[in-house]
Amino acid sequence: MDCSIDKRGFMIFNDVTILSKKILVGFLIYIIPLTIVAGGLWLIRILLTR
Amino acid sequence: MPIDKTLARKITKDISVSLLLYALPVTVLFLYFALKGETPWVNNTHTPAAVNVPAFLKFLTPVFKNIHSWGFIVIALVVGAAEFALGLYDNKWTKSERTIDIVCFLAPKLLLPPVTGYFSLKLLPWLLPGLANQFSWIPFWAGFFIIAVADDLTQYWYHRLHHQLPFLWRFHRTHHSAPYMGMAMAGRQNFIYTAFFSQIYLTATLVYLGLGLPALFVTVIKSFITLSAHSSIPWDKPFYKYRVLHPVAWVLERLISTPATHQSHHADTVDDGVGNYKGNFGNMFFLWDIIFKTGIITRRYPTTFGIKFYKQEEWYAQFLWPIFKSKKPGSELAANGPEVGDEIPETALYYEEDFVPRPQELEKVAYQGLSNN
Repeated sequence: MDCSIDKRGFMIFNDVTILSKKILVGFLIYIIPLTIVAGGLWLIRILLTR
Repeated sequence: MPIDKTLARKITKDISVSLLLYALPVTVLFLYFALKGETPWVNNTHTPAAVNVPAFLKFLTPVFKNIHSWGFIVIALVVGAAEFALGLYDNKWTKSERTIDIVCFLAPKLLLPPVTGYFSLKLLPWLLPGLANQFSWIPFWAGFFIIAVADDLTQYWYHRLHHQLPFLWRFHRTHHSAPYMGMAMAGRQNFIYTAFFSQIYLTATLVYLGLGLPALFVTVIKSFITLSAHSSIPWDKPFYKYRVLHPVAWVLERLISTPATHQSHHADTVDDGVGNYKGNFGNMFFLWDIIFKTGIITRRYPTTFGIKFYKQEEWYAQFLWPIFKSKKPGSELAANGPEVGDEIPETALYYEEDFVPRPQELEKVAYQGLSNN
């Protein structure tokens, strides 16, 4: 199988931008539910301990 | 390529609803403890919950415990062997497709554990010091509910956005490029798509916080459902065939992904009234598609799968785009290739209130589509 990469086939700045945007979207999809769930569980403790 | 404004508004609205869905299990847990007057965290010994496995399922325990290593491989191979025995791959599993399926199945098993291991064992203790097992007081049923919603709803959004945001499509394209269905489809992904799966890291964080056992059970159930939904074995067919099973079918097809509803997502056309490749995004739960009206429920199976503009791109381009590009002219994965090769407009949003049975599709429960163009 030919794995060689020509000059036009290698990652360019535009690809890095797309990759960065993708990682940002992924991070937001991770951090928002985590904040709601972990924050909610922490709130349960605070509210019911009082 | 800009996003359609109507679609952008719909995404924003659905994300707002999702915030409430994420909070739902936590709210139920709050009400449970508030009504019972219990505060189990006060004398929390951080002892993990234990669940007694029924005797007849004991032989599956090692598979469950090792689901992230060899357990999943065993399940996949068993399902795959059944598919081969039934001759369900026909002659579409060419050498090129075989290579992609095998690379996508095996390589992440080797490449991903160091990443997730570092995240779980090094990064999380560094980012959240002293918080390990903080939530181990949560009852198993509640932890299961929390993880099931958090993990699968997150995967729904990750998946949906890779279809609806044009710049993300090419990371997910490999999953749709095969002109057949089979258990191998469940793992046929671009590596970058898999490596940044948000729900992996979300669930790993919740495991670190003390929800390990519920996470294990959710993972096992989810693995079975997603594998069987991608499988070419139509296990759901008897539920549609026999009238006595119709009530069960009604619940099943709304709750979880079935071969019928998920194969619809992998169809290469929407013209037959069965395919819905711009909807049916649910992974374990189909319920999200019902709530957000992105799904159609079909009791038929598409006749053709894949993408119309597939150019049989090289395995390395499909596995590692954009690091490696395809040399096929005009391919979405080629340098200077189109962002989205599909010319069909975004019309796959379906609304239950406009339900109109189609005479030619008496077996099919469908939601009449409304174009948002």
